[in-house]
Amino acid sequence: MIEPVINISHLTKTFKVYKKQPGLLGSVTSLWKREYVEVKAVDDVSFTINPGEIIGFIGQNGAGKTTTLKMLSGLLYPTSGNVSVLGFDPWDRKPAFQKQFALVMGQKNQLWWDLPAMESFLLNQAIYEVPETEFRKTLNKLMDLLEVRDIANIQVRKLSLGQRMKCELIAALLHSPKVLFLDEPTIGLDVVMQKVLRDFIKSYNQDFGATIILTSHYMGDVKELCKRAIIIDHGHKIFDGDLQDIIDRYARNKILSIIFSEKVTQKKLTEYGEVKDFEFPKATLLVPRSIATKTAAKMLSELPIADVNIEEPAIEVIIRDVFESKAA
Amino acid sequence: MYKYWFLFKIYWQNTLAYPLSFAIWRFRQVLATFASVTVWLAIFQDNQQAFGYTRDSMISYIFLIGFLQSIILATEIGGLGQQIYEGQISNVMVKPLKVLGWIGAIDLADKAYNFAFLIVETLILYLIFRPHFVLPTIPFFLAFLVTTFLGAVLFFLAMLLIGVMGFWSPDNWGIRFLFYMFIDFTAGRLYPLNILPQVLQNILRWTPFPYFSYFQSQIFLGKLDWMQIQQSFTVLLLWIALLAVSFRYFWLKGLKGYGASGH
Amino acid sequence: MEPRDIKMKERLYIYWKIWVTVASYAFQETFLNRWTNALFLFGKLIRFGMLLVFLFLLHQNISGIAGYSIDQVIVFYLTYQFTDTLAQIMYRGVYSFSTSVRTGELDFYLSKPINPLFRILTGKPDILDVLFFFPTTAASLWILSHLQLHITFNSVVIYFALLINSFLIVTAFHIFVACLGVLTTEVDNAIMLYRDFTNLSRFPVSIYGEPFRTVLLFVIPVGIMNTVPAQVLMHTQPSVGMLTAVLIGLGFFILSLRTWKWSIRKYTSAGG
Repeated sequence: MIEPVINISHLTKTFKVYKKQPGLLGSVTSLWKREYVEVKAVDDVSFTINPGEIIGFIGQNGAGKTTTLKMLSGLLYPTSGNVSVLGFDPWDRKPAFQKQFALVMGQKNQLWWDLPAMESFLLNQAIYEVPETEFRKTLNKLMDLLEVRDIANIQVRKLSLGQRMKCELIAALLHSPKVLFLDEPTIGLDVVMQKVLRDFIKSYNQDFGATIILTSHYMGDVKELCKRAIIIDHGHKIFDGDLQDIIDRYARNKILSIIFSEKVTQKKLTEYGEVKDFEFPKATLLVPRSIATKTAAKMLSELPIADVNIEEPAIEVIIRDVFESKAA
Repeated sequence: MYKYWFLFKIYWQNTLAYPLSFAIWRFRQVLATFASVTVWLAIFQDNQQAFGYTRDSMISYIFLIGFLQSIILATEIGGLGQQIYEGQISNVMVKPLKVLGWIGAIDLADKAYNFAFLIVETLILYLIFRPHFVLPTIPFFLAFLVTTFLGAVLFFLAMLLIGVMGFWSPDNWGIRFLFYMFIDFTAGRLYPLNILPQVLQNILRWTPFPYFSYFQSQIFLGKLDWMQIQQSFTVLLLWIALLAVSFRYFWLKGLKGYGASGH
Repeated sequence: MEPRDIKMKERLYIYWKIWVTVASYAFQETFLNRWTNALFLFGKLIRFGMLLVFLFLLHQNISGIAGYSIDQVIVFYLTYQFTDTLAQIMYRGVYSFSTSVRTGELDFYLSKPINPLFRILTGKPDILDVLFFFPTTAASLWILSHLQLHITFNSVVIYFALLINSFLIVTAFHIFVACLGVLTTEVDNAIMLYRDFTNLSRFPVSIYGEPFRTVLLFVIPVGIMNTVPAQVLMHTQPSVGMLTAVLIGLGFFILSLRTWKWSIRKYTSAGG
């Protein structure tokens, strides 16, 4: 029986938020009266994660993903419920626990801005008490994987966003953590850099066997990296399972993207499926999954088509469907 | 323990990355002392005595205060409140590093860094103004050292307490500003506390402010007898205890309610 | 009206509108940080009062400093207070300039059809400074009425004329600080340094020995800013002639504008 790495049960976190009346009058009245609203950021969430898994935390802004991660890291004190990571209660913030995990937040720096990245690496080595030989080995491996050998001695503030993100990752991984929490790691990066980071995370998981929880807005991240997804909506966990399951269960349609060589009427197109977009020479059709390929073949033989593409709908769309069907 | 020493070193490196900034800061400290001394020299040109001080004793006082304030009031944690509010301490909290240890290491590094330069500046100012110091005897000098150390501790605690408000408030610049104004008021670079009316002095003696540099200067200059030193020393210790307890209370409370925001 | 006059009027109106808009936003922001601002105001009042207490105590105990009676010294202090408060009302923007440069906001200023220097200097006016100005000016006038001074109507007129010159110098100082902000990261220190230097003029700069006195009159002309007008007001020997004072003021101002032009040319945008 594999011992789960992460175990949370009935986790809840409530915040108090100020309400301010808009406008100048509101500003003045706020001098003596302020209204509070209680927000349940995380509401009775439970799940278990086994060693070596890469999990995608999906949800809209403010759904509770980051809050959950912060509770797993020991930054936030849960209002109620139990959290256990690697057998520890994160809130105790025991050094033995802290040495085994890492938290990387997309927009936040841990590197010292005015010094070369190498200094921050050395500082982390001291903080995590990593022995010299192990440090050098891990550092070299990470620097090669991410191709940053030549920038480690340049001041961090002179680096581009992509280079900085790479160095942030290295700084977070120098102590070979068993558990990695990644909060929006690819935010603001260009497509090339996103791919580089995704490949890196994948190899890290395979080489080091680390357990990884990833939150992201970019479905590309989740699709490529995570086999299992947990969907959080308004603080509730509404789905926990294989990503492919979501796609299979909720993606009722496939998308046919067509480029026509000659003019065709929209009416004609409706014979084949639901027309989502039509502006000559391009058209987008929604066709039920089971008959998608057959329909495409039919269209190719009956219509003047220059090019056709069969795609899964974007995960965002699928997930929106999931939310809507849950709400219904 | 090594990790805190490393933090100390890295702080020095960080400050060295901005040599001009630090140079201007030190220049401003020198300028402040220089200005005060000049004003009093002008005053004593036409007057033999003022407020019970002679020219030499007043100059000695100004000198000493400049020196003490550079040590005791040098701090890096003025920005602590903002760091807490913006969630920057999250970075420290997830690591095997005590947040208070981190704060302490950086503050100590800042004091040490300033102290190194302070020695040089004091020498230069001494050569310009040649104040006549009467050095205290060994027992008084020891008392001076101890109370200087405790004064620094008191100030550190005060800054921590102000910083801890970052858990609840976006910026504490208002409080810090007011705090510094009070310090100026009670042991200013411009005039000593005891030219103020006696009533005011008696009230202030119960506040922590005179213990940030004024009290120490008076010990050094031999203006207090042992009885007075003991009394004031007790008040100093009481304030340290009070601030330490308050800080601990608010710190734990703040952590529990911490939103780790800023993302 | 000539077309050129209309254009000028329009331009001025636009600048006025911008200033009022920015000021009202800043005003609203004040209420968000109610305690901070209240404390800040209180601190400023303490600072103001504290020096007055000192001068009052001097008044009780001392006959004079460097040839001036304490009453006259008070006038020097109040002049400094007046120009300093006005400067802070007008030019608060420089205090937050370092953030603007760091975030690249400066680029926005440079690419819009409004003089960037105007935005930088006058951005974010603080209602507290205005609140502070009135009671302190009233207090100053009240104190002045109780002092033993030799002031005539003529000297008051010349005093205010010279204060216009002082304001030119204040503007020039802030422009220099803005230049530093554009070229380096040291603007916060620079502004503090400027404040330290003007603090020196709380007392008449003639108390400082040479070569410092010359520096404060001709190089960093805080002496021209605060000491000379007060000297003229009280019919005492000014440290420099009035014509010299005005020439220095103008020269300093023109120099600051030239330096600004040069700084902008050297400026490189904030990196990504």
